[in-house]
Amino acid sequence: MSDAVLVATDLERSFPIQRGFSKAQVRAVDGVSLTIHQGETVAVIGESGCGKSTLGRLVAHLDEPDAGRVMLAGTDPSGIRGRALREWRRRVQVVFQDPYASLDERMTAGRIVAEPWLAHPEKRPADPRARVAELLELVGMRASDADKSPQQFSGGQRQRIGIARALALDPELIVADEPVSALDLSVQAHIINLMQRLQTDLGLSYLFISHDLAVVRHIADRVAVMYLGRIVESGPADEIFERPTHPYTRALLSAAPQLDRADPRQRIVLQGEIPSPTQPPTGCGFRTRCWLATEACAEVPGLLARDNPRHAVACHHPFREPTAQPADENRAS
Amino acid sequence: MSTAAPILRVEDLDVDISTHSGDLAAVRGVNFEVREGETMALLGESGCGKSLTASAIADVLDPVAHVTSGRLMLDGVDMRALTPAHRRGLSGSAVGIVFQDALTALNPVYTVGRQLGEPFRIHRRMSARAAREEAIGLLERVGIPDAARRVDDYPHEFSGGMRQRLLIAIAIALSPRLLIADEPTTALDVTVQAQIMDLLRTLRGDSEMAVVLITHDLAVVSEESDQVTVMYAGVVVEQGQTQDVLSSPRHPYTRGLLDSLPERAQRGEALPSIPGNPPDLRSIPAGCVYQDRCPLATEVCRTSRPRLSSENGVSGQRAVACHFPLEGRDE
Repeated sequence: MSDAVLVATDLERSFPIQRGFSKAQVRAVDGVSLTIHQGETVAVIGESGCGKSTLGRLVAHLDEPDAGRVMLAGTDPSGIRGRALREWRRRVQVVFQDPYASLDERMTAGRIVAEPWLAHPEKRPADPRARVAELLELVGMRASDADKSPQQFSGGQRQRIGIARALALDPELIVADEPVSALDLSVQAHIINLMQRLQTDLGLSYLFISHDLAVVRHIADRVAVMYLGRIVESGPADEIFERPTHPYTRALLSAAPQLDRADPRQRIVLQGEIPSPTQPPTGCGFRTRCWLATEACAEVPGLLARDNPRHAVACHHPFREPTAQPADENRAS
Repeated sequence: MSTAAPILRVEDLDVDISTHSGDLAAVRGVNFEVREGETMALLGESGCGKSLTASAIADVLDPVAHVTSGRLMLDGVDMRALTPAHRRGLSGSAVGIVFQDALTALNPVYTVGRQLGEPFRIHRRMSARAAREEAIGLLERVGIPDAARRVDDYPHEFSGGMRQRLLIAIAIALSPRLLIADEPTTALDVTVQAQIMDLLRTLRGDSEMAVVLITHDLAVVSEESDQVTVMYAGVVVEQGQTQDVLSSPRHPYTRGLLDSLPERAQRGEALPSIPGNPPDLRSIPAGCVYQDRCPLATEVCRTSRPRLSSENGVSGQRAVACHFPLEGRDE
């Protein structure tokens, strides 16, 4: 595996919330570390409130961690301002979930795609119109679409414009937060294919945040599973999907509806719901819903420990298949 | 398969939407039936008319939409032939509805006990006290712990999954013959979705309700339904037993949807995708509604709209609206 584009270490982020007269803290991200290599797609999966979108914002530097740090290919951004911060934001771009909310209706598609150059004049091409046309064609639109406004486009086309805008500054990493979940089924495949083609052609890295397990399985190289602000399991996508070891991962994969499952009653149905992140359980965050939980789980959180060099799990009782052989792969990560 | 008369039979249903620029044909010629204990999935993308069809059945259409023709037979009674008051009385007790968004479907200023008791007070003319007892029983049936205490709580005091249970409780309060579930789990997390689907399946089994499940999710269709009606641009394009339809789709649209799913593709390979976008209701073409995106479309598809038929070389309980239905995959 090639060099790391981004290394995040022990990120923490809490938000104060006020409920009535009482104040509380939501620990949205609670000690998360993550590495993304060049040309790689790392997916973060988990349910609402698990902290995956906050993690994406920290990585994109749209928000600052309370503790921990994000390093972008050698730079340390803690406290960076001005030019260095701008350069960071150039290298890490974001594609948002809702293509109806993320494009300014009063601008033409061409102006939307060119807008990043206002903040980054150093990247402004000699012939912006030609470059806009090139970017639109790169994402499967026509050069003539530059003069149309967002209302004239479908959801899928809008998402293509959002991607073209993200590409305007030649980023290295794109944080894509649920980029296809607002789209119609027959259009989702267009955007997934586009993102994969761009990755191959431009050598992009993706941090792909999603709750759609089928999409993640299709495009991710590595997967991190989050629950209550922590990564509970991470590893190569095929291992996570075929040999999940954390009970939460197993329940999550099993709970998702599947096209070809013989009998849905075979799935693991968890009791209860995700506890409030303002009052997470002591010890392991998942223990209140876990069928394997013991006393140890209430006291000490499972530490994210490596099962093999590339697969880590935070659990006192990880699942092991009796016949499983540790995969001995020579790819160093 | 039950041979009993269907609980619901939808015949040639048309729904129009009024707009400033005239009426739009939002649903055209929809036919299907559901028997007791059976789940019929209405599958389609946004704007295909699946939710309008469901709202028409439940008599809760938005004021801008109206049924312009067709029959809605509930236990042999044509709902559209009844007076509005009569119809409300019947659909209020015999049809239960579960919507997608539980928070907006519940009234924030009344306790859940009052909202759950309402059907009993209105349709059964029960006293407030008796209705409250019924409400507690309902909460227990839908798996809300500590029902006797929680009956006095307000909707915001329940989590998303629990609110969806409350909606289900209201929907089944009067033991309806038919339950309409419009994307009942779309707004919920995966692990909670599984709980709600289990609950719906249990309730259906207990009471032999017929269920109409509206969804855009093929995996949900596969796991939860017996029959499926695939809609596109306001019309039914394919219909049949769920596993038959999913394993050997006959309409190019159904086939295209299934092929574009990441589940069916090789990891990392480009997904075979349907070109273009679903049509705008303002510009539904003459002829086949799918012609602009169909790889098989010919001149006849541009001029003549194919009828939903079980005679287009399709056997059994399958029906497809296509001039060139696909061959079965497994034969």
